[in-house]
Amino acid sequence: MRKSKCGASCRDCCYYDYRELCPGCAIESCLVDLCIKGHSFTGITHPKSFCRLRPYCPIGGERRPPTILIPPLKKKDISKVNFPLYVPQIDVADKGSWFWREGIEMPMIFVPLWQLVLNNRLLSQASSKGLHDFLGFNGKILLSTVMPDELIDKLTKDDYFKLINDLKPDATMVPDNYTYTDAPLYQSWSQTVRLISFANDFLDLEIKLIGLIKGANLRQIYFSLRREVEMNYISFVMPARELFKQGLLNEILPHVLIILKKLCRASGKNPEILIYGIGRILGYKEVSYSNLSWYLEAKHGLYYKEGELNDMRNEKIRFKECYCEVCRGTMPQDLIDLWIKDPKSCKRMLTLHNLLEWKRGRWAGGH
Amino acid sequence: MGWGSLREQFRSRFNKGDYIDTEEKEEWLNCEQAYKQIIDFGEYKVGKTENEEYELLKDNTLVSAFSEALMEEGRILFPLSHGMLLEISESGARKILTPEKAELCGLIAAEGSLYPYERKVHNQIFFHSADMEIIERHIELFKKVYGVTPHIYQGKGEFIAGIKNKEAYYDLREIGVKTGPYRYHVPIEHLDEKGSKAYLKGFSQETGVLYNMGNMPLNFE
Repeated sequence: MRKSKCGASCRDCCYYDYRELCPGCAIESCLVDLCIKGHSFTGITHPKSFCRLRPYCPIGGERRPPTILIPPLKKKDISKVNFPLYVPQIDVADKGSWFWREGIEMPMIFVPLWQLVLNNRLLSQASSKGLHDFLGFNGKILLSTVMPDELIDKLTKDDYFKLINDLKPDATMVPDNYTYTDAPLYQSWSQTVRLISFANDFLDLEIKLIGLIKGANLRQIYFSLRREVEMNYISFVMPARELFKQGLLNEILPHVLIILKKLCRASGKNPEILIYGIGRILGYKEVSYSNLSWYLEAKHGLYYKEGELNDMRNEKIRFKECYCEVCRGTMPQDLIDLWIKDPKSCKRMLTLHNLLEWKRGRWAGGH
Repeated sequence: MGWGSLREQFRSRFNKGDYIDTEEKEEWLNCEQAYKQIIDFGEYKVGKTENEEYELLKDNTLVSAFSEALMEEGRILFPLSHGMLLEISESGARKILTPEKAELCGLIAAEGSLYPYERKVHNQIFFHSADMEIIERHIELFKKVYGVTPHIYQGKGEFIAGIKNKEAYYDLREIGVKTGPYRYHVPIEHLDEKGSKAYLKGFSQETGVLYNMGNMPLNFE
């Protein structure tokens, strides 16, 4: 029986399984291991009394969180969500992002659950009416469970079920988890098993379901994807914002696509995958995208053109006319002029232009 | 939400995660280290568990565990089956022949023959020599490496040690001991210094020197 690099023993660890689950923790940059050897990080392992990794520390640590066991898996016929090339996210609390009020049509949107959970007023309004009536959106509403870690730990299965039954979305992601590459593997394995357990519970819901692709390493990604495919999940979302920021996405995504294809080929299915949370194009034709970048970047005066984000002063695009439904022949220079005269209406125009640019998706070949 | 590095997550969300140099924890210094990283070859690392097992890690992922290991300067050797060793060093990992197997390969290259599965012969390995002592040495090495004993036959003015063994045949063929009549492949990619000496010893066993068998030239590949 091995000991991990920090000295924690794998003897009583339920996730230690050389062949299928965890082969033992030997993370080079493990924050617990580094802390023990004299290198701490503020807010995480320093100061000691606030260390959030104490449950995993072999020296004077607290008890590890209770083990989550892999449940006996159920099966259900889950139909595809049929993601278009682009599914915009909206900000529930900011009506500026409710683009359908401007007459622009999109087949579906993602609504982040965390924004509702953190805002009691919005939640009670949305719960009483249901999301469709609350937003006044006629397309499909997909509920995004991607949320901050603090909320992930808070919400239970019953909370999710109540929220989903009240909000009545057309489809929902299975609950999010957190899997860090520099935290002890016990944490990411327990979160991975938790994801599978929730995915199993969610089969009781009567709406379309979307699986999640997460894991601190490829073994965990494979493990969770395999179980989700076994449960007949066919639409998947990969939250990729952090991976993209840290330059890890292009390393992981090709493997994920291969794993998913192989797993689904064995069961004769054709999966769909959506990359969630990044405002750039990755060059994979078979994936869809979802983000709030169309809205957020416009607030900073940034202009999408052919999948690239540009400063409007960029010489390449500054004098290029755009013939989208909103611009109707105006060019970024006109928008710059408008910004000076009427920044509010310029931002509105820019927001809708960016959304339409993503919607057209010519840069990715379209679906 | 959390994916990637926790430290980066804290940096971007809370502007925290800065490095602070603290003291090495006393408990760590005092506690008995059951798991020790004994060798670090960069890509490969070797650790020793509390059960005295050796664990081989590649890019920090456990590749395999071994009950024994031979540590030498600049490398570590793990015994594999059929007279092979896994050598881990700064230049990476490779399979090498034990000196016994290298000597056996040398003998077979010089005076042996490999017969595939054909009409009359089935994965047979023969070794010819007029010297019974060399035949016995061949048998001893063969038994040590493959755990089976070749039979001895009396030929015309020579002794023949022969055996029908699929496992040994394919193993020797894969190493490429003999690539054809009077054609030899020195498995240099599987030989360390000791192995090279043993190979030459086996090859030149009969006379003590490398010699030209009959009128045929020596064709090393």
